Amino acid sequence: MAKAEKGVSAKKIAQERVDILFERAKEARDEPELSARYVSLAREMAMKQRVRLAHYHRRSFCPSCHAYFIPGTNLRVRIQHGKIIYTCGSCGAVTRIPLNKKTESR
Amino acid sequence: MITPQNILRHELIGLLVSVESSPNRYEEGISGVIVDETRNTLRIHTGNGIKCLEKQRKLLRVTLPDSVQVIIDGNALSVSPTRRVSMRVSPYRKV
Repeated sequence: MAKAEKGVSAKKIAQERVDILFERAKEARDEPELSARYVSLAREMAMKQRVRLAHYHRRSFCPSCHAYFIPGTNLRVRIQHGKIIYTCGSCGAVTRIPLNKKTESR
Repeated sequence: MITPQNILRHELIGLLVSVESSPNRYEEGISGVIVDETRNTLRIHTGNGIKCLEKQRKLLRVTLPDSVQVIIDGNALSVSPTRRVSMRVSPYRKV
């Protein structure tokens, strides 16, 4: 039985693949279906290998339809009642992110 | 980083690929950029349209980002793209 490669864990490769897939999704923003496919592949991989999506990756796609956000084209950003409100242009889903969260340091 | 040692477990989308051998002789020589991947197929963006190829029973010549070329057995690839990460890989041979 073949042994797995020493020193290279699945998590490390998964992290690299997630980064690559988000880059590809950004490049394929002219084709919304393709970039949504890349985002859902990256998300699936991160969940299976229990790799945390980076802060900037988590904000860059719609959690409902996985469309890659391009501000001004398929994303509306408003600030209301101390929250940032992201409205997805392709499915209409609304994400509310609280502002001034003191406990969270980034 | 994508290396010949971890290519079987790494991302294929965006890499240049050409079909080295196939049971269907009309598929030999098809080359282009991999656009999408499922468990059993690869979707390749060639000069004239996107082609869907089966992974099994094929030898694929893949060009890595640092322009190293690797020949991959398609049978070894036919696992779903998210499951390939944790696959066990036998050592590769230098040709």
